[in-house]
Amino acid sequence: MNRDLQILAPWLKEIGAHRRYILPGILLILVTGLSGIALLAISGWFIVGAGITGALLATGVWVYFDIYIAGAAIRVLALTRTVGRYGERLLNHNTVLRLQQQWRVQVFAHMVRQPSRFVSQLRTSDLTQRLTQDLSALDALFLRIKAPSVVATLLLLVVIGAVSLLYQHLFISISILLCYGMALLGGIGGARYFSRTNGRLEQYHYGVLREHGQQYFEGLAELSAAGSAQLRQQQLLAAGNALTSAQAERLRRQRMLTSWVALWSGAAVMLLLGMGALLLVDEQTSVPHIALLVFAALAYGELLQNLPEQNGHWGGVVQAADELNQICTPTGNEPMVNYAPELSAAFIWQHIDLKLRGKAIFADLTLTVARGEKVALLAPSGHGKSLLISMMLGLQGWDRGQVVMGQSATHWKSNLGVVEQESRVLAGSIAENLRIVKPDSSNEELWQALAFADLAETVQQMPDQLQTLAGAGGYRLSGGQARRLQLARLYLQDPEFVMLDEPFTGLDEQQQNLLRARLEEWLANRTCFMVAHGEKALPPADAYYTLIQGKAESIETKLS
Amino acid sequence: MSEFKREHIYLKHIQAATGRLLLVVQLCAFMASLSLLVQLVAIAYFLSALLHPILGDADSLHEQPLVSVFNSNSGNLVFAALAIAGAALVVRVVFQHLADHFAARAGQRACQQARAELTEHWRASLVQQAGKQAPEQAGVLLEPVESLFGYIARYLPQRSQAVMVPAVILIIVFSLDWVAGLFLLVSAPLIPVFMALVGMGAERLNQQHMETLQRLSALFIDRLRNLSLLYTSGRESAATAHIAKAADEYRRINMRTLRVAFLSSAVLEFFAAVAIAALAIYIGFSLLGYIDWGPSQHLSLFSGLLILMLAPEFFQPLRSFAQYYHDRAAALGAASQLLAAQPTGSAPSDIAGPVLSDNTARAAGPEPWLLNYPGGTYRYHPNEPAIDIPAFRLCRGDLMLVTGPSGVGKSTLLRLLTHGDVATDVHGSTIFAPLPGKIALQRQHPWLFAGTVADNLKLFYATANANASDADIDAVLDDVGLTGFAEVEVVEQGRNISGGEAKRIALARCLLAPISDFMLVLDEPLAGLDAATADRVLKRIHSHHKQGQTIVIAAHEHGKGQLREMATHCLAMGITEMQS
Repeated sequence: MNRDLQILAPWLKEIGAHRRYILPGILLILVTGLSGIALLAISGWFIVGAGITGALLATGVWVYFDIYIAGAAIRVLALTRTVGRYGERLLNHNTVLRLQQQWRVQVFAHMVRQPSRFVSQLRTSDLTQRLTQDLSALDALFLRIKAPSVVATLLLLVVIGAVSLLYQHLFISISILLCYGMALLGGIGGARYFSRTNGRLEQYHYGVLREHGQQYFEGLAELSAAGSAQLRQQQLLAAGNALTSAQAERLRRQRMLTSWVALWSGAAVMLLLGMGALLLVDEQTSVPHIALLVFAALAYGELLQNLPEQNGHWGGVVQAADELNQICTPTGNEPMVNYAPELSAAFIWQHIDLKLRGKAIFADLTLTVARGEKVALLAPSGHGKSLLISMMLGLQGWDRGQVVMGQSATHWKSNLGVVEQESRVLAGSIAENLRIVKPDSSNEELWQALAFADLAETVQQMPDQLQTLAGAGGYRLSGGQARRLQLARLYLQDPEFVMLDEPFTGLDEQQQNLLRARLEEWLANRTCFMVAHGEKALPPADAYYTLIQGKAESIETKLS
Repeated sequence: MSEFKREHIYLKHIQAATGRLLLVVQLCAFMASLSLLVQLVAIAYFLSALLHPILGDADSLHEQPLVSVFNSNSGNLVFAALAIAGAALVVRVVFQHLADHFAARAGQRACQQARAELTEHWRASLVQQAGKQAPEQAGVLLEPVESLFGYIARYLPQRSQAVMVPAVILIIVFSLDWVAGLFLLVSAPLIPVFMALVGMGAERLNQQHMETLQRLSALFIDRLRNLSLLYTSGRESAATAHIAKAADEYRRINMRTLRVAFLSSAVLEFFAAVAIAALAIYIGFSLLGYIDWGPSQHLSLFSGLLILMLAPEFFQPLRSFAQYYHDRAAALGAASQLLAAQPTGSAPSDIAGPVLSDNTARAAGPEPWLLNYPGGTYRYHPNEPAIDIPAFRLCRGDLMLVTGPSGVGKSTLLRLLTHGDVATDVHGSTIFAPLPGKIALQRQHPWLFAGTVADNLKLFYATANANASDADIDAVLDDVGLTGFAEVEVVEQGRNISGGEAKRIALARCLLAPISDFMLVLDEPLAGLDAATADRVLKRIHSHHKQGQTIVIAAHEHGKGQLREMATHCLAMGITEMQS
């Protein structure tokens, strides 16, 4: 539990920082709960009192019974409860949504500031999916865990106070405190405790199912062609069943706790009734008082019933907070690229060592690209060509050596254009996808860029032309079209330095020849570092290198 | 609500899968409610009995208060009432427990059913699914399926409780005092009327809310996936601002939904509170004797107390019902998602089995050809451009080369060959039957699973009763230029395997598949290979062809020369006549 609190500490602190919304919210819940209990208690007292008074009046005994105050109190309480509940829910949900929005933006800002840690992981959908889930899981922290538990505990003090006042019997007060104490222990402590292990187990099965589901969906083409999809489907459904039984176990425990709470709060009602009757014999209390307390206890018990379900979110919240904490903790080992705008060279990799999964990728690699020079690195895939680009972009670390870029630390991004190995298509319009590198460009400029990449005709035929939505959930761009979109983006950016990673993947020979010629002309006065598996996959370069035993070696090519 | 008709039908269908469990749930829940009523009757009796001596003999109030109650025969009855109340409490807890237990079982069954159907549909509509993002699609197996649970396990049982329990209470209250009964009866129908009015708006808002949430989370995922682009083009703050704006819009729409939802429950509570308050005052005045008409003159303290205790229980099931109403909205939203993930165009039975069609005729046995397509078109969606597929005939042992410029639909044809779908041919809409038998498929974006490269290579052995030796694996890895990769771990296509390597692993996997069991369908097997590796791969394909394996290869210009020499015939897409 201590560890849990440590994990939750930063998030609880954030909640605390919103005191201006949080305190009124809790206060309103308290007022609502209180008026609900008081409404029933005073009604019970009023009816019993009225019954006695009526009987006495009928026998001619004169008694004074203020029906107007009681009646008014009942009406006021009824109204307070309704309005309080409405206001409480609006206020608290607004608070939580505000918190959630803030957290979402914080987490995103954090990741985009330190991308090197995430870029490689993000290709696995797992992280992204989990992030969104974790963020929505956290809203239970205030709404379902903190606020109801605090209010239930505070209301217990009120109930015990009423019992002590009306019965004035220490033993009864302690017994009632014990009953409700047990109920709260199970409903808050027990529910939290059980949710930890159960939550983790469920999370695990959830992960397994997600993985199976994804594998099944991704691999269905291969599996079904090979006639083994049915077997995988069985496995997937088995994973689903495992998740289902883990959930069943959690629900079973939750039911046990709900029953536990119901029994203890029911026992409190019985105790108030029975002990009240005994006190009545000694004339230490009156029947209206007994009715008041019994009705109050019934109303309070109703409130406690929800605690096990609410506190059952504890495990999930702790887990979500833990994962988000890990993302939001900055790490020290960021790749440090040196920026030297006064340098005569554009890109320098100096004495670079890099090992990945035990395999030496680079061993004392040194490579320099002078300003205005076009350098190509040719090597089969798997030799780490793309890593050199990632290192220069600050997206990949290295073990030893220096990486230097001939740009200033503040302006390199606008002066460097990159075509990554993987085509990047944002979910958004074609125009948005292009304007990402030059937000103020006109439509004309966009069409020019598309024409350069031989994509204008294709876009003209799309339903909404520049406004056609592409990317996830949008227009299905083919691999070649997505590639040409990257080249259009590069053209639009008009950078001084360029990096190309297999720029023509997915293009047919005709398009490749066309774009090769266009890129050659466009690159004339620029600096370019490009990598590919062969020289024909690149525009012509001034110098060619290849990778031999982790070092860059100059080579002659047929073309040069 | 005709706009949700399909969703309602779907939910009904899922509900049917739970069998009689829901009936058991309703019975147990009803028994729990009855026990609660018994408990309340006993408590009311007990409280009023405490007062009996006072009321029965007001004159002797001070001389002989209550001792008589506990010594007399009626005293036994009073304590029996307390015992009954206690017993009823236990019985209620037990029945509630049972009801929840069976409700959870029913909910789980519904989830299982939905998962089974969904995975089945995916299998049956493979071509349509091509190009959809796996994480989003696979996500449908999780949350949306889970939201069916609340609908089955909470909403449906509560719906019947919301009718039955108030009805029983109404009968009891009417038998005690018809004026009080009238109070409840009048306030009760107002509640559904208001609920319906508010609920109609809420349903539309809820749908909007689900869509916004989906859009937001899709945006979030998309921006994270393209983090490197945002970073290197210096758009970090703009992207963050975009996310902030979308999140704010989500919050506003969410609040609008919630305001309506809360208003509907506030209306409900208002009526409940007003009815309880009015009843309390009416009963109090009756007992005081201020009301000298109707049944109130005969209202006893017992019935007064009982009515007051029953009143909140009259409204409680309705309130719970309103609370679980969002489960219904969530389930409808989930049903939309699930239905969207199950394209309706093709029923699974249409393509799952080996369907013989007049047009895409296929050999049943001794016929030499596997497929004979007369030419036609295919569309992913009615509003997407048609893909022209020329006529072709594929025989056992053929090596068919599919060529054409990028984007002309080569990959689509390969998908149709492997999975089949409804396509239009010269004779009209018909089934494009898949190749009969097992196929080793290499796609442009191949699927690799977590495990070593060697594990991935053995994929097609999982279905054949044979095993690939380490030597075979090393040999095929050499041929595709991935020497020494056998023990490399594939981590969900993360950084350690590049896109080009993944393609080559997939190619190696196909080349390793048992030749006698599998046909080969390869999409651009030579793309991205250097000349030496391409040569070795070509040699290998040639030897497979010589051993009689049926092979279909899609390729653009690279290396087409050698492939064309090897091919038994060539299908040029984008040009309508068939060359051989």
